[in-house]
Amino acid sequence: MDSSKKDDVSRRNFLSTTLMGVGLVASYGVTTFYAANFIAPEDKKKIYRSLYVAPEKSVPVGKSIDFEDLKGRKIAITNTGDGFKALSTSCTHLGCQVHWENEKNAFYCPCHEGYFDSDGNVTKGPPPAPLAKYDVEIIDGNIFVKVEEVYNAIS
Amino acid sequence: MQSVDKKNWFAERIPVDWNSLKHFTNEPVPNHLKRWWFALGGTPAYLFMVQLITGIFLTFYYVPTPEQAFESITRITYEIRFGWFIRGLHMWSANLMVIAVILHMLRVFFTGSYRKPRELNWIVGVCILLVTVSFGFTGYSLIYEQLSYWAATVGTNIAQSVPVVGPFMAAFIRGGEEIGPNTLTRFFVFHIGVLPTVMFIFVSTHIFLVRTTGVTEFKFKEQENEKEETFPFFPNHLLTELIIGLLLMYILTMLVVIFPPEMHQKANPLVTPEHIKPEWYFFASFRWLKLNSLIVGIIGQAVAVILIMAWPWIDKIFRRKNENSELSLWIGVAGFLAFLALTVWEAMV
Ligand code: HEM
Ligand code: FES
Repeated sequence: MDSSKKDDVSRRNFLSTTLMGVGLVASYGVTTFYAANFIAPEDKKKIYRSLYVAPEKSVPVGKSIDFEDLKGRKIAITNTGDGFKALSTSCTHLGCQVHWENEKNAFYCPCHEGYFDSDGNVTKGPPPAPLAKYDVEIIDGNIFVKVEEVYNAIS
Repeated sequence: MQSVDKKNWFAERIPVDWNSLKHFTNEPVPNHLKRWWFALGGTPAYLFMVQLITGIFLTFYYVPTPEQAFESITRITYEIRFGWFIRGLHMWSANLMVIAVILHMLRVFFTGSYRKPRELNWIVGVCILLVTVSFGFTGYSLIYEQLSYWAATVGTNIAQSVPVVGPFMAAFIRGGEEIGPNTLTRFFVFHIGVLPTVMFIFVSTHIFLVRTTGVTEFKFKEQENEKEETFPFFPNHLLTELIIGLLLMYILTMLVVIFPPEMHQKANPLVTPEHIKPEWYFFASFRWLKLNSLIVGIIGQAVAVILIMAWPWIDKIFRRKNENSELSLWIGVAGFLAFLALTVWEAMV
């Protein structure tokens, strides 16, 4: 009789300790989840759209013009003779801006001395991949590039 | 009578055992610490206090937004009274702090003081070095000038390229997929909130471990016939540290007056300048990145940090066969020379 009473107490103890433990873990868990969401940057689905650049005629063969996408990133648009090419000027190594150097006949990245040819392929240095390409469309003699949409309002 | 009362008044309200506290602060210090290079550990601690004070002062005027960061530092540098001096102290003290931490580490390494039972404190020390360079990286980016902007770009992209955790880590540091309006705010929060807190915790742990394990004792020939093995921390050792502090203040002031801080070009996200360079303590890392493919560039540096952390155990393996093996020393010399060589190479071009 005495011992069963003791059991009762410890069983109650066990139950309340467990419940408290679970509650504690759950509430801190939820708080951590909220906190992680608060500091993690928003992860929005990417949508692309075409952006008007210029009439085809304004970029003669061999010439290149600078353009910016909606996030303000630079794009080099070149007329190769058999079509237009749009290359991102963000170096694929660690993100510096490349620029075209006539005497080297290459896109040059000053950060770690990376070189890319006019097609955006790496010719020298540490960059691991060719320059990113944007899709180009010619509609009614006008150049369009496909760029990432930018949201202002909540989506 | 009255003074006794006063003493009791405090003793009753702060009920600790003052005598045992005295025991802790007045611990005897081994004789070898009379040599200044064994007091190098106090130097970064002293400089950290300088950083805290000058940093808080700078925060009174600094505005962490892309539109105003550069302008506010220009104002600190050229308009606000003694702004150049406070900023100069912060800048030079940051540089001296990196040097001091490196020198302290070299002393500990080459005297073998990381060995049992001080392995944990060696790791804490390496963490302090990492926090120190993180301070430098985030602080430099706050200026928002061309070089610091592109240093921040390259730095966060290094984080991004780390396998597995990289993209998450980079997004967390930048507050987005790329450097954007969130980034400067985050760097500011890391620089003046998170890192100082982390640094405080590491330094406290470090000092606590130094006190509990004691420092490694060394005997020098001239000291062999000294009667006492130790001298008191208070006031003798404290005095040595104060003298070093005074000397540091003198050096700092000279540096600021002779090489005051300046403003360069404001950050332009569309143009990477022709000659980009990080702060000098990243030169070796920067050169290494130029020499290797991206993945070797990054993994190589991670491996270097892990090796340094694990050195107490690697050293143990070397000394298993031969207690007096000097292999550790020679690898240490080679490693440090390699670091110096990469640094000088990058500095020359
Ligand atoms: C070990 C500690 C610290 C290191 C190594 C460090 C390093 C740096 C560096 C390298 C800069 C750029 C300075 C320049 O070139 O002008 C900087 C700027 C700054 N730091 Fe720190 N810092 C430390 C602690 C702190 C603390 C504790 C605070 C504030 C509580 C702070 C606030 C600032 C501010 C507001 C700036 C921007 C103003 C400027 O660039 O002159 N820093 N820090
Ligand atoms: S960022 Fe272009 S070569 Fe490193």
